[in-house]
Amino acid sequence: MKNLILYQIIGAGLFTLGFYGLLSHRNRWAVIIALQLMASSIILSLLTIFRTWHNQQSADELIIIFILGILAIEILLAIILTFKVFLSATVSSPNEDIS
Amino acid sequence: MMNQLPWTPVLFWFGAGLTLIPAGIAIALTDVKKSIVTGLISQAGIFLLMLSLGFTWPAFIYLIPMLFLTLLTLYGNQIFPSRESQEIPPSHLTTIAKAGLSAVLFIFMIVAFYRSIPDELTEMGNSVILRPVIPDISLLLILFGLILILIFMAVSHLFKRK
Repeated sequence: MKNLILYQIIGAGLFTLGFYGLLSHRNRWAVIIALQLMASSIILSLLTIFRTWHNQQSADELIIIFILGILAIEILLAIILTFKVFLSATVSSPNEDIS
Repeated sequence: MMNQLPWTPVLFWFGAGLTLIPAGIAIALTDVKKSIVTGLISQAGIFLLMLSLGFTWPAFIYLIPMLFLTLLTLYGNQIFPSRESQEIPPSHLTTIAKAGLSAVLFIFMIVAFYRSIPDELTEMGNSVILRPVIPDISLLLILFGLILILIFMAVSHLFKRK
């Protein structure tokens, strides 16, 4: 149990790093990286919680569903951010058209 | 668990270093391409941590989409480079305070989760065994939902910023 706390500390540190990157960076691709770090920390914490519950490997299917759910949310956010980048890259501003 | 498998502490410490150090470097770097590659190294560290926890198949199922997503991010960065400059805004203190607050919230939720696990006394003959009981699944859902709300709040904050 004491060793499992270390995993939670690593998860919290990773979540903090990701959140700091999310708030401090303006580049969309860097934001996606920060989101990846945050999702990874959540997955790590969830796995540690599952390990606290089950010492035997009986909950693998449930864990895989959790991982895929979190990854799906992260990929959805990445698609939204990519779409924003695509719009900002393709749509020209009115000032550029006038000049 | 760690005492049963002697290689797990090695995997754990290697994974911890491989996770946190590249993650810090990825956040601090100004070059986006290098940042993405360093983030991928950090994901490999998470993979090792999962292996040290004993989850082999979930670790592989985690790593493959992450690898795919990172490759797509690299490709997307090559095709549509973001116009915004990769610079940290001047309000360092506010950003650090918000990140610290999120860390405190995260740790608080985890501690609240562990506090809520009751212990059950099982009497087997003359000995009494103390074993944890699976807590209510709703608590896990609340924890999961709170973390997701935190992420969505951060993303909405990002979209509102000019």
